[in-house]
Amino acid sequence: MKQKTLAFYIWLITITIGISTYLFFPEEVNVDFLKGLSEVHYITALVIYLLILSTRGLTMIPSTPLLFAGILIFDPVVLFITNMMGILISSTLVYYFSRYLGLDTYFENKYRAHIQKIKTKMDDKELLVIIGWSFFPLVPTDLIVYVGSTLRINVFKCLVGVFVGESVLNTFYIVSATLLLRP
Amino acid sequence: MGFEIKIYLKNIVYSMLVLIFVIIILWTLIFSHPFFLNAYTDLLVRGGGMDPETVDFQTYSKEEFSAEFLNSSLGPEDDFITLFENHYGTENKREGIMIIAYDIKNPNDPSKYTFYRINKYTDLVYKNDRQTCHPYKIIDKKHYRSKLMTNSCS
Repeated sequence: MKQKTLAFYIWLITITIGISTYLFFPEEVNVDFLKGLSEVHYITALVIYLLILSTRGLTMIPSTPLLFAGILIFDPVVLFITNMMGILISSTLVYYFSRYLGLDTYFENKYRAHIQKIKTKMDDKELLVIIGWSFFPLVPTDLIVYVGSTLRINVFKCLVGVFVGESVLNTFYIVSATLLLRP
Repeated sequence: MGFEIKIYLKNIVYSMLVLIFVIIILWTLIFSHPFFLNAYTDLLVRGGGMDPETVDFQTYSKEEFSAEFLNSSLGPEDDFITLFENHYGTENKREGIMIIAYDIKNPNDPSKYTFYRINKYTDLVYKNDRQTCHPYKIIDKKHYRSKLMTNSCS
């Protein structure tokens, strides 16, 4: 129990640092250092990029700034595949981390009536809500995964929803930015 | 179980179609008006961590571009692409489905390049000046040692 409490506080601090950095120092959220590395060790740069993307969800920093930076470094098709892999790994981590912290049990016990109400209202629409949320660029996708995990929505359903919403949006970003900015 | 999977698949396909439709509308909006295109590019530049000072993205109508950079007025019979290529050449030309792209080195400053993108279907031309030098110059590829270039791009 103590271990979980400690993990919960560390997670809160990480999220606070992550969101504050993103809001107040957006220029620091970039992968500029990978530009030089990718010229010599393309695969290594790609693996580091994937690792950053995969763990990013725990900090709630959106993946979009990383994607924009990646467009200038990596091949568009490789970038799309890596980015989607990173997003799915990140979502899986977020989903199970939320379970590990016991957020589902906590909310279920504390707000049983509300949770039941939301569950009933979302019945059969969970997938559509996750897809729509993941597609909308102004809200962090990880948040819906935390909510999904708390509401005990099936992990597969969460990941499919995130994949559908994010893949369409990322394709748009990658294709348009490649057309406009890539040499 | 089979019925549930059918519903999921139906939801996924319909959602994909709706999202693709939204993207097509967004795409059309962005690529058909200079204001939206400049705003979107600005977002990409800032979001990508590029220094906005090193990128200068501008959108022109073909007529405006001819008057400002090609020193000629574009008549109804004139072919803009021919006029453009006669003036700038065809350095690094790439022809895509929607756009013809050129990447032309600045004759006065080798570290500067200018992208030109001519939209085949609308009246727009995009010009993007940029500094190509990277602050880190790789001086030893084998051991990956880099040198921070502070003042010069050469």
